[in-house]
Parts: sequence; C-alpha cells; structure tokens
Amino acid sequence: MSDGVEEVRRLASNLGRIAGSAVEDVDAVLKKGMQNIKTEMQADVSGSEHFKGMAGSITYESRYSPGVVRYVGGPDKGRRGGALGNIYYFGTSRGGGSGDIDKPLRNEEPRTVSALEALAVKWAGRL
Amino acid sequence: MTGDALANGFESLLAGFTVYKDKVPATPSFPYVFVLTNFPAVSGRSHARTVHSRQLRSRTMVVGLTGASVRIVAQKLTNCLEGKRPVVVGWSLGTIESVPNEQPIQPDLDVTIPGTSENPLYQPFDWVLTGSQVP
Repeated sequence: MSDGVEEVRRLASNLGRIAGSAVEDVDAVLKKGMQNIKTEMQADVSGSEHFKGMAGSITYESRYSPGVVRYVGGPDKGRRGGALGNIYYFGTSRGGGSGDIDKPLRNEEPRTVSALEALAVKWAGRL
Repeated sequence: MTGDALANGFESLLAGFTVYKDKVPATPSFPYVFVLTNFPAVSGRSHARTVHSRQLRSRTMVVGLTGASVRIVAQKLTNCLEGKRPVVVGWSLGTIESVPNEQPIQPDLDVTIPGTSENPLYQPFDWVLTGSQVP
C-alpha cells in the first residue's frame, strides 16, 4: 500500500519538467500571435491613402523578465513613417484617428487563447 | 431604444466644459472636448447567435492651450464618465469604463492658435459602455 510520498515526488518532478519548458512553449504561442497582429496592422494601414507609408514602421519586440513573456507591437517612431502612428490611430486636436488599433488584437485573441488552452491540456497530460 | 439614443445618452453626460460633437469649428473655444461616438457594435451573442449585448465606443479628445488646462478638463471629463451608468429608455446598461491608450499630452503641430504662433495641446481618452436592448 502506498503512503502517497512516491506519487507526490513524481508529481513534483513532472511539474518541474513542465515548468522548465513552459516559458518556451508560451513564448512560441505569443510570438506567433504577435506576428499575426503585426501582419493585420500592416494590412490595415496599407489600405489608407494617407498613411500607407507608415506600414513598414509597424514592428514588435519581446520583453522578457523571469517567468514572464511579453510582446509589445505597433509603429516604431524610429522608423520611416512611424511618427504618424499616433495620428493614424488616435487623431489630432480636430479629430481623425481612422485606424482601429484594437481590431488586430481582438481578431487574434481567440486564436491565441485556443493555442494556450491546447498547451495547458498538453501539460496536464504530462503530469 | 436605438443606437443613436444610446450615443446621445452617453454624450449627454458631458457637461461643465465646451463640447464639440462630430466636428470642431474653424475657430474653437479653448479648452474643449471633441467627442466622437460610434454606433454600438455587437459584443456578445447567445448560442443561437442572437444579439445579447452591444458595446458603445467613444473617443474624447481633450484640447487646451496648456498641459495644465488639458489635465483640468480631463479631470472634469473623467468625473463625468468614469463608472457612470447613463439611463436610456430601451437599454439595460453597465457602467462607463475608460480604456487605457497610453497616449501622452502632445502638441498638435498642424494647428496654430489664432493670433499666436503656438500649437494647442491634446490628449485622447477612450471609453466603452456595454449594454443590451430591452426586448
């Protein structure tokens, strides 16, 4: 008859293995999602007569901290046309702001959430 | 119980400062708030795909001659909207929430204040209001 100690040890060991690869797994999902968002943002602005020149300024970068994966994307003011980003998305004192900065994120959210749920199912199968 | 009534109910909360809706006049009175409110889009559906809820999105542009002026009007604007629940016939509404957009106060370099060579300053604020139409 088991006293449960061995099971607890195995669970702890499996949790450790999952934790070791979790950040890498999540990073891959988020990076793909961020790429999709960037592609949609570029496609949206490319359809604008006045702002299509800033399409090439839309980019993203990763920001890692211990146990945390984060991506930040949008027009880069250091790139050609990037300074127009706030006018395209937020307008000026007299209006404008025809770009919808939330749309690519809204469209991507269900795909990324599904991919993260699939990851969680995969991890659960390894416990 | 139309989307227009909902937008009007939202915009009617704006008081205590100059408000321009839809368009800013050629010679506006500073400071002012320029407001644009969308038609409420579907934000939730039942399993049968009927509309459960709609979300009204609004952008308010606070414009002033100085940063302090923008901040003072922004405070009044926030007091008018944040957490408020407008009453609109035909709608069951939640509370108004601000949406962070990380936009700073910045000069509008395309506009010159009449009689000066200075530019006005502005900051956009985004808001959402979710509700459902009463059958």
